[in-house]
Parts: sequence; C-alpha cells; structure tokens
Amino acid sequence: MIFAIGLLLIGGAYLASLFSPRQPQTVALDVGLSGLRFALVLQALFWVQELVGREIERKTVVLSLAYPVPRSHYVLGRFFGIALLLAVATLILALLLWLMVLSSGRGYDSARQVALGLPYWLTIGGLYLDVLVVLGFALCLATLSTVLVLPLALGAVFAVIGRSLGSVMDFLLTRQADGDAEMVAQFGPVIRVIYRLLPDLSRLDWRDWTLYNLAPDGAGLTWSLLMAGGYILLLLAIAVLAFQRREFA
Amino acid sequence: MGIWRQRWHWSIWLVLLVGGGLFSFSVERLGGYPRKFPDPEIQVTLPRFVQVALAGGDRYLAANIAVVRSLLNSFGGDTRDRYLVQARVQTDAAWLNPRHEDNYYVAAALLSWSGYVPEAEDILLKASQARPFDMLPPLYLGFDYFYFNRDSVLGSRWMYEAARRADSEQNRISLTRIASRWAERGQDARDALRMVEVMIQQARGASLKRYLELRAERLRGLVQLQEAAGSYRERNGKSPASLEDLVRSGIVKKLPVDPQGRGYGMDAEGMPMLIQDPIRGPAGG
Repeated sequence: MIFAIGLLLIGGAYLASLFSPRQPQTVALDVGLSGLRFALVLQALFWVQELVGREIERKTVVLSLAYPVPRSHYVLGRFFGIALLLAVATLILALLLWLMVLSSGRGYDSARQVALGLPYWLTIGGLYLDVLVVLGFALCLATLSTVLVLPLALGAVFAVIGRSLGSVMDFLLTRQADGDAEMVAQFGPVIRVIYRLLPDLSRLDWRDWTLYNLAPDGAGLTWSLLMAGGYILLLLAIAVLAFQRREFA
Repeated sequence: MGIWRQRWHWSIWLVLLVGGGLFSFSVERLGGYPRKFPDPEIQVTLPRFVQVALAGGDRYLAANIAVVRSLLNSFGGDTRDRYLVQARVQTDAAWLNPRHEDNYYVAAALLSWSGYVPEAEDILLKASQARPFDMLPPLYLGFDYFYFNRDSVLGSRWMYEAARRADSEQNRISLTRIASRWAERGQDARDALRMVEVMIQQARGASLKRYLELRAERLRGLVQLQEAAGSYRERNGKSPASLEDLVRSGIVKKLPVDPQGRGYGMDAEGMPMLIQDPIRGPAGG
C-alpha cells in the first residue's frame, strides 16, 4: 500500500514540475513533500485504526492484557511500534522522492538549486515528527473512544487544523486580517485559545531549508522540537491514564 | 398476487425509461446553455486560510495550487477579468509562499504590463525580502518603480539592491550603473548625490569606482547650481531664466564643468538639471 501511495505521489510531483517554467526541481520537491506528509498522516491513522482500534472493537485486546505486564506497556508498545513502521515508510518514500527530484529538471538553470543533502533529510525528519504528533493524538483518541472511526476522522481534522494554525495566526494576528478589525476582534481570541491547546504543526515544516537553502533559525527550531516533543509526551500520558481506567466488558 | 408483481416489474422498467429519457433530453438541452459565472473575484479566490485548509493545512501546497492556476490562467471571461483574477491568485500565492520563483517571475512578466502594477510590486517586494540570494526580484521591482511609477529614487534603490546580489562582476557593474543613472533623475540632487556616494563606498573594482566618482562629481556641480538658483530666487524674487543669469548676478563665479561632458541645463520652472541622454524606453532595450 505504501508503495502504491508512493508511486502516486512521485508521479504527481513529477507532473507538477512540468507546469513550472522556471524551477521544475523546486516545484517537484515542494509538491512531493506535501504529498509525503499527506500519505504518512493517512498511513499513521490507518495503522492506529487497524492495530489499536480494531483490537479494542473485537475485544482481542483482552488477550494482550492477560499477560503479566502493566497496561501502559501496551499503549507505549503500540506507539513505538507504529512509530517504527512509520519511520520505515518515511525512509522509503523520502528515498523515492529524492531519486525523482535528482533525475528531474536537469539542465534548467534555476536561480538557486535545491539542497538535497543534509537539509533534505532534516526536513524529512521534521515531517516525521509532525506525523508522530498526529499519531500520538490518534492513539490517545483510540484508547478513549468506543467508536472505531473516531480516531481516524478526528485525527485527520487534527492534522489539518494543526497544520493550518500557523497560517491563520499569521493572517489574523501578524497581518491583522488585512485591516479587517472586526474579523480580528471576532476570531482573534478564539484563535489564541486554540493556539494554547493545539500544536502549531506548521512549525515543523522546514522545507525552505531544502527548497531554497534557507536554514530556520536555531532558537525557533529548538522551541519547535520542544513543543512537538512535549505534546507527544502529554498525549501519551493521557492515553496511558485513559487506558488504565478503561474497562473491557 | 402474481399480477401485482408483474405490474410492479413492468413499472420499474417504465420509471427507468422515463428517467433515462428525461436525463438524456435535459443533458442535450443543457449543452447549449451558456454557463453563468459569478463575479470572477468571488469565483476564483477563496479566502486565504480556506485555501490553506483545502490543501490539508499545507501552505506550500496551497501556494503551488495557486501558481499552477495562474500559469494555466484559463478562467475565461474577457481579458480584463482574466488579469484581475490573475492578480488576485498571484497575490494570494505570494502570501502563501513568497519564495515561489514562478510566481514572482510571472508577476513581473505579466501583471505590471497589464495594468496591475501595485499587485506586481507587492509580489516582487515579498519575493525580494524572502529570497535574499536572488538578484532578480529586486531588479524587476526597481524597474517597476522606475518605469511604471516614474519613481526613480525607489527604482534606483532596488536596482542597487539587485546589484549587491549580482552573481557576476559583469552584472554587478552594469546594474550599479543603471542604479546610479536612475538616482540622478531623482528630484533632489542632494538625495541622488548621497545615493551615489553610498554606492562608491561599497563599490568593488577600480573602473566601477572611477565611473561612480565621475557621476558624483557631476551631481556635486548640480547641487551647487540648484543652491545658487535658490539664492537667486531669494534675492530677486524670481527664478533665473538661464544658467548664465547665475553667473551674471555673481552668485557663482563660473559654471561647474561636467566631467562626463554632457553639461547642465535649466528646466521650465527655472531649476538647474542634468542634461540627459535621451531616455530610452526600457521595453525597447
């Protein structure tokens, strides 16, 4: 399945690059990264549904819990297991994309070539962390929810909102909604509250680094890593607590 | 019972035929109807964060979608509508990802020439700031200011920025020359002089420095003449009719010599000015 998505994504990125008169490699990489994130988020949600949600629904989870290990091990084991699967998937897709970008758009003289070395792999790392946050959220919901599709649906919503948050903040608060004071007054406070509750996942998108060779500043990068790491820990703790209290009758 | 079942069976076929007939008939008729579009402004440009949300929260993807849209540019309508939409889509794309190379390039090539100068300048300004390694956005921006807004001061400032980013010595020299030439067309000779003096400080290469020194010298002559014209007005209550008036009245001992040999003149308001080479339209080269 991962390979089907991968091929689709590479094909799409290649097609997109054909539209670009000036920077086919950059556009191929740009669209490719968007597709990569999309595919990985879907894959993460799918695995949470298959490996956690369905087990709880079919009550086979009781068999796993019969072993003499604490319940928290089950939750953490699932998290790290899926994280590992995702790491492999990320690596495979990133390699495919890397090869495609390398081979596309040769001979064009763009103002700045894309940086396919370390910046590329660090960008992929940020993207992977982004997906891990979504994974943590979906897992947390799966331990709480009695409806099978809830983690899948809300996880997708979470991924979209978390990713859009940065743009909305930027538009509403930094740019003052292009002078629309009423809009700022109406939505500003709401957005500020959401910003305190949900992670700004767009902070983990460092693709300017690989696209234009512009490194993000160190302090911002560190805070983004801490934000994501802290949020994952928080979600895992909630998941463990909820799972310990849950009764499987 | 059997009869009812048979009738039921029969009526399903009737419904199928009626439905199919209705469908194909109406499709046939609809084909000829012109489609009515709402105002293109509403039609094509969704609010920006709706665009982001539709792209799965991915700002870069939203930018790419907008750029591909502007490149295809098949939003129908007459040409005025088309460029209006083009301008909106491209301004959005510049907000979503100001570094997008295709976007600023198309804006420079298309928008300012179709009357959407402020939009093009907005996109180019964003690109100039977001792509510090790229000499083209400030170059286009400077040109836009100079050619479309007739603002030679801003134009020369951005042209100079382009020169600073130039990828080769050759480009740097020629861009600096353009920048300094535009600076001289500014209203106040002292501004232009200051600009050229800054350029001299940062100039690398002896020949470029010499060229700029000549320009500075020429501007110093102009500053001297403009100040003299000011005193003449204060003393006589009217503007001098010619440069010779300044000498005759004793305010200047003799007219400054233009080291570049083109000399000084007087405009209609009695203000000393540089005699320029005929201005060549940038479009013509």
